[in-house]
Amino acid sequence: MEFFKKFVNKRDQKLSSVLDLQSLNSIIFKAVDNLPDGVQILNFDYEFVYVNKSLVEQSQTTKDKLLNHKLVDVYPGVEKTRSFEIVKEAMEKRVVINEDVEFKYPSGDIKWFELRVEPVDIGVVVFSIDITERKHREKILEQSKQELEIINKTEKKFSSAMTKLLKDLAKTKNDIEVEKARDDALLASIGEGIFAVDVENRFIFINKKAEEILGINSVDLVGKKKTPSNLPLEYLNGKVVPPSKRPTAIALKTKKSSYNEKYLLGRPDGTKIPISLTVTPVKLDREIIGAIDVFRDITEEIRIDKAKTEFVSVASHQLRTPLGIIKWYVEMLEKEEYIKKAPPKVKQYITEIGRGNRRLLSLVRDLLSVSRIDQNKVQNNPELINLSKFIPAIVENIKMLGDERNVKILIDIDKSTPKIKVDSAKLNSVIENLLSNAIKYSKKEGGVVKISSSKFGDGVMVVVEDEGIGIAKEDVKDLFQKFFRAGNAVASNPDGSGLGLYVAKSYVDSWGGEINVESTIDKGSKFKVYIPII
Amino acid sequence: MHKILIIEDDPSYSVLLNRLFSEEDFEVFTASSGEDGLELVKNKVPELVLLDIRMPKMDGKEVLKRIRSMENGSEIKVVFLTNLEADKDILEHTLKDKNTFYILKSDVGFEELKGKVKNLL
Repeated sequence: MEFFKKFVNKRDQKLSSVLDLQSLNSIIFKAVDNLPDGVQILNFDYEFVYVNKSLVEQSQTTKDKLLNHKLVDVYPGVEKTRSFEIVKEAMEKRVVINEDVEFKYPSGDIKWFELRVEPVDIGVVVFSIDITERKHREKILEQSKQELEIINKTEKKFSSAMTKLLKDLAKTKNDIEVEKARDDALLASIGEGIFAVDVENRFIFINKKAEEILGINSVDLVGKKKTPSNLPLEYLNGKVVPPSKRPTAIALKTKKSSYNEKYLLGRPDGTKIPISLTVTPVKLDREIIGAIDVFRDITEEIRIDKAKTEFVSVASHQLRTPLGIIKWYVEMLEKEEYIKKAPPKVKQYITEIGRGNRRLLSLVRDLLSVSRIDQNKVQNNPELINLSKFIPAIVENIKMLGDERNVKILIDIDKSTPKIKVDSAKLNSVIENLLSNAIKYSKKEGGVVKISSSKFGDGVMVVVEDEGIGIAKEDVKDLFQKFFRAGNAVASNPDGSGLGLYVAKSYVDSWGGEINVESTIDKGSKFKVYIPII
Repeated sequence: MHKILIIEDDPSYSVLLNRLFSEEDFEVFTASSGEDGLELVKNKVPELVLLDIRMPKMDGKEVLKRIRSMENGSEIKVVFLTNLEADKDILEHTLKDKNTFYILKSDVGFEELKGKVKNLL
C-alpha cells in the first residue's frame, strides 16, 4: 500500500495532517473504492495495480482478471485505440489528459468514457466516467437537431412551394376565367352561327348569331331533346334534304367534316334563307362525342354572285362580236397576195394578232360556259355516243397541238366500252379539255398522252394519262375550282384561263358522273372521268 | 351568180360579210333591220339569207317566221348567225326545218363560213 499512501499524500496534504494516517487511508480507500467513477492505476508496464468497484463494472470482466494483468492482455488490440494512446501519452510525457473516448469491448459493446489520465509515481491513474448514456442523448439531440434543421429546411421549401402552387392556382383559375370569358365573348360576338350537338345529335350549345339565323331561341332547343334534324333544310334547288343526308347526322355517323355546303334553311316565320354550313365532328380519344355546326347567312353573297355572273355573261357576249370580226379580218389579211409578199415582220405581226385574238375568244367562250353553269342555264341535249368513234375524232382535231409539242397521242378503247347518252358538244369539250391540258402540260421534250375507255360499273370510265409536269399535292384539291391555276401550270403555260377543268367538272357532275385526278409532280397526271349510262 | 342576203344590225359585221362574199362572186344584198330584210327577200328573192338573231325591234326568229310564211319562202335557205351557241329556240328551228341552219360567228373561220354557204347552194 505504499504507493497508495504516497498517492493519497499527494492528493490531499491537508487531510493527512489532521487525521491519523491509518484511518485516513482506510476512509479514502473505501471512498475511492465506492466512487461512482472508475479508478484504475496502471504501472509503467501497463499492468493493473488497482481498480475500484466502478472500474470493475465498467471493465466487463472480474477484478482477478484485471489485477496484475497487462492492459493489452485483458483487452487485445487495445493498443490501437484512442484510449490507449491517451494513457500512453500521459505515461510517457507525464502530462494530465482529459478526453472523451469511445471504447469497444471484446464482446463488441461500445461505450463512451470521459477519461482523465494523470501521471503518478508508479505509472498513471485513470479516472473514467461512463458517459455512454450522455453521449447517446447528445447523439439523439444532435440527430434531432439535424432532423429539425432538415424539417426546417423542408418546411421552408414546402411552404415556398405551397405559396408558389397557390399563386399558380390563382393564376390558372384567373387564366381559365379569362379564357372562358374570352371564349364566351368570342362565341357570342362571332359573325357565324355556331351550335354544338352531343353524340345523340341533341343541341347542347347555341350562340347568339345561330339563334338569329335559325330564328329560334336557344332555350327552345338546348336540353329539349331537339336535334338539328328538326330544322327544315333544303338544297339550293329547293329539294328537301332527306334524313340520311342531313349534314350533322352524317358527321356524327361518318366522323367526317363537311365544308361550306350550301343549303336553304327554313325558319319558324316561314322564310327561307340560304346558308353555308360547315360541320366538324368532335373527337375525344378517337371516340365521337358530338359535332359542331358553323354556318352563315349567304343571302347577300348569292345576290352579289348572281349579279357578277350576269355581268360576266353580258360582257362576254358583247366581247364576242368584235372579237369575231377581228378574227375574220385577220384571216382575210393572211389570204391577201400583198401580205403573202410582205416582209416577214408584217406577217409575224398578223400571226401574233391572230393568236391573241384566238386566246381572247377561247377565254370568252370559257367565261360564257362558266356563267351558264353558274346561272344553272346549262342545257343538256343528250344523244347516243359511241366512244370508239367519238374519241378518235377529237384526237384527230387536237393532233396538231400534239405535233407542235412533240407529244404522241395513243388511243385505247376497250371493247367493253358501252355507248353513253350525253350532250355531245359538252362531252367533246370535256375530253378535248383533258387532252389539250395533257399536251400543254407535257414536258419540254414531249412525251406520250394516252386516252383510254372501258366499262366501269354502270357506266364508262375515260382515262387521260400524261407524262407531264404533274400537279403538286396541295394544288389537287383546288384544281377544279374556278380560275384556279397550279403554280407550275402558270409557269409552263401562261395562257390558260383556269376555267377548263371547272367547266369539265360541272358538265360531268350534271351527268351524275365523277371526275378526279391522280398526279405526281414531274411524273405526270391521270384524269379519270366516270360517266354513268342514264 | 348566187344571190345572198345579209340581215345584220351590226354594221361592222355586215360590211365584213359583204366584202367576204362579194370577193367570191356572190351577188350580195345587205339590210340592217328585220323589216328592211323582209323587203329585200320579197324584191330580190335571194337563195340564201344570213340572219342575225339579236336585233332591235324585229329579231331574227321573227324574220325567219315571216320568210317561211311567204310564197316560196320555205325554199329559201336561212343561216342563223349567232354568238349564242346555247340558244335553245334556234336549235329547235334548225332541227324542225331542213332549210334552217346556224353558224357560230366566233367559232368558224371565214373560209369555213364560205365553205358552208357554198355547200348549201
